[in-house]
Amino acid sequence: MHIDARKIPDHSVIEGDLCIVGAGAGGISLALDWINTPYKVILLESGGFEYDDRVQDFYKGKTTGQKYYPLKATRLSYFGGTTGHWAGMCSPFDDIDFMKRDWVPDSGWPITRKELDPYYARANEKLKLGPYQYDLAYWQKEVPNLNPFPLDDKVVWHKMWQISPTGGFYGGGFSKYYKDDIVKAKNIHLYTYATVANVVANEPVSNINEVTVKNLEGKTHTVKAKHFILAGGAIQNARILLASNSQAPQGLGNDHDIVGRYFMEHIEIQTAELWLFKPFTTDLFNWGKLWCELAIREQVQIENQILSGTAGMYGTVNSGRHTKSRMEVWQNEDPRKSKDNALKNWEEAGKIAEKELGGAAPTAFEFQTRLEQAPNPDSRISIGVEKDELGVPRANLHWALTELDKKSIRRINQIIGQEMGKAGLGRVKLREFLRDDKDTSWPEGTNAGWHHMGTTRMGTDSKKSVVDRNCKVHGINNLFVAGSGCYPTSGAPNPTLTLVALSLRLSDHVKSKMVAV
Amino acid sequence: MKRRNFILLSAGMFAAFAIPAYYHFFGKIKYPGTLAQPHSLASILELKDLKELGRAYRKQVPSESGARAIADVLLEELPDDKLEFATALENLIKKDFDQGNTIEINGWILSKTEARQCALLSFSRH
Repeated sequence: MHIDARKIPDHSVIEGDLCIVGAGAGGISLALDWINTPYKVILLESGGFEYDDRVQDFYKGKTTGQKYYPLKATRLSYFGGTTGHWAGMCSPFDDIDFMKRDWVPDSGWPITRKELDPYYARANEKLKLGPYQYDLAYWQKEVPNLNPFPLDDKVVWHKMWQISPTGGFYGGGFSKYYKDDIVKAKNIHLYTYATVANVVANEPVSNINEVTVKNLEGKTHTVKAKHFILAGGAIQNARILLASNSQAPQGLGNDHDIVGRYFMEHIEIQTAELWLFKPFTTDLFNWGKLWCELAIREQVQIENQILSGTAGMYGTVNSGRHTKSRMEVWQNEDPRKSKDNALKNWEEAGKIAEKELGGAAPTAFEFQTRLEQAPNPDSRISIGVEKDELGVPRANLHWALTELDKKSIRRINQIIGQEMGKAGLGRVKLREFLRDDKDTSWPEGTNAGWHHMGTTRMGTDSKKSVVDRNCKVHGINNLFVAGSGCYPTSGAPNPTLTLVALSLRLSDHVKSKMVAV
Repeated sequence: MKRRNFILLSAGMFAAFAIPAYYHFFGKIKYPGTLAQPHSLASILELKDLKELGRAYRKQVPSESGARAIADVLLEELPDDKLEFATALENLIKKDFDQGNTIEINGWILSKTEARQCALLSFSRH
């Protein structure tokens, strides 16, 4: 059922078994998993069902370090959350992404890919994807003309994506697909315009008693539950924990100053041009229900001591030359206007490129590399003195990249260039910023994927992480975090599939706790 | 890329190097013209770009800044039968990539053999 928190009496006390904070990909996936259970679930959403700029303004914050998008424009604060401008790209992390790698400081998940596999399969269903199959060989049997490049598969392989229809960049987002299910569910109590302003613990700060909810109508409510799950996104979850500092001076779960640190993004940037000697016939790299990028084999990553990264062919060299960086065009504080700017730029670049090609089959393409960002404690979310309209300190971002990031993105493209040459397919030309191996800087136009990760990282050591292997905040019995903030490392694939899988795993864990109670 | 231009380039190179003279002269240096014909690269780059790559190579590898030195290095790896040069050069390029014998010139990841061919080509006045 749906309740507008602006329309209930001030100082209402809402009680349930489980309180989920945030109705985005993580929060909605969790709530769906609790439909028709005997438990009363309170799902709190800061916004309504449509974009509301006053609510969106809660996301405003300062950024320092490597140039970043306006924080207000990188997420969406209404039912469905950031799926509202998500492109729908889904692919699981690889085995190596979960491993401790000696050359990647602070790497290693406390869980393996194998443990997450059953949840990946369930996440595939929630995201309305095809079967949980990401092998090229499988899809070649299903779809004609998925011809891979004849590369040495022991070095470079073709990694598959499925494109979720629940992505809102071209469709309606989670809101379109799941609003009715949530609103009609008798045991799911969705409160819109219910922004969590504070999390209140018991006196030894070992249990959460309640959360304080506010809205722009000036109303304040209290939500009590047995268990609380923060599912507001990696920036917002860290912000809530840091801002809830009346009982724990550094914020909840932050005895060791880890909350907000290790902020990671996917670096997404045009890195090279691929010039084929002759046209190559394939539908493998055409955007549709499937997508494919070139990935580096685990053993090659180990030998080269590099991070995970994949290179995809995002248009022709002609269109690439006329396309401005997303970091340049996505600078309007209003995410809708930023999106319009990006679409306009792509359309214009496409038209010019088409004219230049004059109908000829393109043989030169732009590689965009998506790189995991090395965990870095200096890359962080913090709260400032400035507060939003509800009186909650705003989140600020310092985005900091490392030498390993730069080394990795260069090496990945060099490896692909060598393999293209080896296969006699063509030649690769690196972009200017990758040519000097001593240069550790990044261009101002370096894009990020709007993928916020790592701010409440998962680990076994409470001094080095925020949540345990079950996504429970260390030292607090009934407080959990859902989402990509829990990632210790970020892999190369887009984060949504993994964060939904992790949320469903968390859901099972909380259900088991509920039964035990 | 200008498709029409590179087709002309390939034809022009054959006319200049392969057909009229078996040997070509660059200043006082004489060697088979095939050495300065990076065939695969010529299918994606224009003559001026190939020459630019060649000049950059000579600057980047000072020990191979002269035509004689470059030609000698190339000839070292080639068979005696000059008619087999073209095939042998293509094989050398493949071998370079297989063995990681590559070099980055102005961002291009090239086989050292083809980079040397460009370097030799850069002496050409054509």
